Amino acid sequence: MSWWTWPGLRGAVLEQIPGRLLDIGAGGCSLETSTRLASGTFGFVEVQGPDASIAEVARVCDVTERPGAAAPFLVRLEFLPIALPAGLGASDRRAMTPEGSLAAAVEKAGPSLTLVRRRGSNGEVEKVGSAHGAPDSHGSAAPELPGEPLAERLKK
Amino acid sequence: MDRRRHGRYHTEGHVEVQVLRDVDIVRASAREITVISRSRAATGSEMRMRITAAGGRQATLRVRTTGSQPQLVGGQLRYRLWMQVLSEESEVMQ
Repeated sequence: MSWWTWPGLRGAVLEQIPGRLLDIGAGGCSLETSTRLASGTFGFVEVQGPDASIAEVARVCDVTERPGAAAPFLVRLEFLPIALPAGLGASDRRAMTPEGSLAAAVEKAGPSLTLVRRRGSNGEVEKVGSAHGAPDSHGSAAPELPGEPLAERLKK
Repeated sequence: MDRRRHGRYHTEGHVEVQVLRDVDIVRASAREITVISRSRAATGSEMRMRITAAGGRQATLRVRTTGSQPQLVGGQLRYRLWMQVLSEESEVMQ
């Protein structure tokens, strides 16, 4: 049965907004971008580093506008303790950027971030499982709830 | 007042935020989908669309905006977007 024939179709568009990471912690991150984002907006954040990448479900908790700046919006994101849906995680579609060490940031932040890949000693990119042991950990490996749209889950 | 409970690590790198915006599906077929959205979209822009249906069925599509037109829905400004379905990335039947 093809998707367009399913009863009760609902949709959510995933708009991709690029930015530059400023800082990151276990609970969230700050970035600057040229696209205006409203406080309370839900989405997925994917951070690319030279040796690792993380992906989290996140919510915009604060936006500061800086008129005249090249990237006029300073956005603070809060990571949410919701598992990243299958098919929406970080991918290897883009070459890694040369700046900074994201793996070091993740190591410093603790086990709460979902590290999704890193480079092995042979230079190959390998998948890394999440290590969520803390009570307030994010991105736990809980399966998606069947029958409940993602947008509805994020609104809770 | 700083409400942060965790330490911060200053770093630089590329970040991509995928913002999730709910849309109402007006018409759908294998090649084209028409939706009502709160936000406009540039013609030619490509994005992913998450489709869900009763019974936990889900599909993720790659779509390209072919048209965008403002319209009033219940007194609110909305945008009717016409999108071409480029590919289907995944389909989950639960």
